[in-house]
Amino acid sequence: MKILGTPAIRYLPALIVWLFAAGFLGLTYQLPEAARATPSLVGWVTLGLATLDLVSRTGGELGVALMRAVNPAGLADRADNHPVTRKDLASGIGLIVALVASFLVLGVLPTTAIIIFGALMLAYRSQWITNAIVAAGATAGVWLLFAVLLGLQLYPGLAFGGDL
Amino acid sequence: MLTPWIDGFESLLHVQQIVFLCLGMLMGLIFGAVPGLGGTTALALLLPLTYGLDSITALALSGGVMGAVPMGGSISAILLNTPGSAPNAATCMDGYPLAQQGKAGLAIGAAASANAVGGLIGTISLLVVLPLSKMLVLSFGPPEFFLLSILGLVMVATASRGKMLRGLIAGGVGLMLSFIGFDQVTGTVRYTFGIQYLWDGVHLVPALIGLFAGAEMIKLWMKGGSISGSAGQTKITKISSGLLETFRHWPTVLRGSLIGTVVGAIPGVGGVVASFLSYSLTVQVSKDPESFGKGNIQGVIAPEAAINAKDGSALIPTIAFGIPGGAEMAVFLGILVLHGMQPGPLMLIQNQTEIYGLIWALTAACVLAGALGILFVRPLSMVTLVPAKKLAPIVMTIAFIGSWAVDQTVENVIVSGVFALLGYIMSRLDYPRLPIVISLVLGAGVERNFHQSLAMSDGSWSIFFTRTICMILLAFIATGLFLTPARSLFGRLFTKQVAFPERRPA
Repeated sequence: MKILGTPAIRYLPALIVWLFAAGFLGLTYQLPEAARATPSLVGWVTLGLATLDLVSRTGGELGVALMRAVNPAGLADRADNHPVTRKDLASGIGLIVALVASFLVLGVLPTTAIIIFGALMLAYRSQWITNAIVAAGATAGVWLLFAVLLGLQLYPGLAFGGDL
Repeated sequence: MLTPWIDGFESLLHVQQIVFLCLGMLMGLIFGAVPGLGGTTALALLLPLTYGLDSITALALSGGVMGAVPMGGSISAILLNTPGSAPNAATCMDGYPLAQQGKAGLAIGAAASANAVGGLIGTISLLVVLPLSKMLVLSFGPPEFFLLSILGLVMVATASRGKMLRGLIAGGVGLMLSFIGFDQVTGTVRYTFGIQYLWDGVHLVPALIGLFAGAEMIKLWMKGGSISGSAGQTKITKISSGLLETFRHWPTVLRGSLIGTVVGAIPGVGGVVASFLSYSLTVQVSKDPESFGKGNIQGVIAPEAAINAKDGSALIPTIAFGIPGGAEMAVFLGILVLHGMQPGPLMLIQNQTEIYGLIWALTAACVLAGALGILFVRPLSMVTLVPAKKLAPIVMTIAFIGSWAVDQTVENVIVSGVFALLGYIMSRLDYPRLPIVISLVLGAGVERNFHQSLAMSDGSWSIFFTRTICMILLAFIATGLFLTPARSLFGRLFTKQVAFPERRPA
């Protein structure tokens, strides 16, 4: 679906920023006057810039001229991005989410072992012995660096008595 | 006047500092050599690990990393035609053809000595400019600092290669995030949604780790494959001849170093501009321009001298004004803050020993990294053969544990995760990440200086338009904002003649 000559999806990044700035302004105006002086200024400026970004994404003469003037590099499809499959995208984002969740629940050392072993298994399923050795080595390295050398008490995770 | 220099030098003359300087150099060489890692990731990973160290040792470690990264990058550029970091792309153009002709050692030797000389010139410029900038910065008041911060943001956004508007938007979002937490001016708690952790605002170190180390590792994981090709068959000989080549072509080294010094001091412009500008100017003034791109040693010397000279001068805006000129400097600023230093006028007065200690560490790293790079040239080229999918989860996990280790707060890991995803999305959608970091760093100062300025003028905005330095800064801001549209307009009006377009990277 196209809106003003541009596929609707192309407006999404600018629209998200616009909504974020609008939401921020909404919260800002609930603050006392002195506390909102700078945030409201920044909020309005960002909202204005996001509006310009939205307009520059339209396909008409104004949009094209604005894009040439303020974002001559164009949109993301011209950027130096390599193609990403849905599987890659899911595994990349999933890795971060799993890392954070595992850290919270299981703590430092089990997370290191599980995440590294799991990620390596995802990429190299047949090399499970090598993967296990690498994960064990990395876990030992983390323990040595953080617990022994830096003398930190490693976070045990919510499941083992840790707290937020 | 010489006392701080000597104190700084003496502060480094301890076994612990020297060991950490060498460790930093080794880490810098490895992270510089591996494409996709680079100095920013190295510093982001290192940042929490410096927590238990004293400030001088932490600065020696950081100086070692910063001084050695360009040398690591030049080795993979010459041997593998894969620049370790973006600025080293210019080195590929003549370095790789030299390697193909069996002159890899000559190119690596020349890169090492050009790095050392460039680094020395960069740090000398820092030593000269720092006392002058101290005088300048002490004449600044709150209105000047407010406008200077805005200028820093505008320049970083303008330098985002054709993405000025998106850079400004990223800066705006970064400023909004910097307002989260306890407002020191009015004592109000803002945008925390009842989460006590956010009272201190968005913690800088976990955010930096997420935005750079986290996001880069997601990209590396998704890219997959081997990071670069093999250099197993390349002969590495004539290194000593290469070292001397730099001195035979001293005008090239001097020109490159001066370009690097000037470009480095301008926030947001960065090493890519310095190295390519130095390369193209060398081609233009050469009597034999046709030989470039086919293995001319000056094509290695010119960019390498510029890249290392830039590192020293990039510290000027970071230390003197608290405005980091690039991503690496933003992370380095995080290290300064973590160790209780406040970049800006106060640091110039209170932390002179640390500043000069850092300068000495950087100088030593620039000179010694070349020797270390030559010594470990073969293992360094092998490091780049590690498969991306093996490297990414290990670096990412250690980085996130480092984020927790800063103050042993588990919420830091959540912040790193959120910023890693934000950084990756921004990178995919072609929004520059640097303005968001600069804003997070500058946000509190922007607000404080804005309030103090208005208090000085009884609430009148005229204070920003009636002081001489403010007027100059406003003129720079306006120029920065009009630069991208003007460049775009002129670019379309006049046909662009590019020298040797076939040699430019796609």
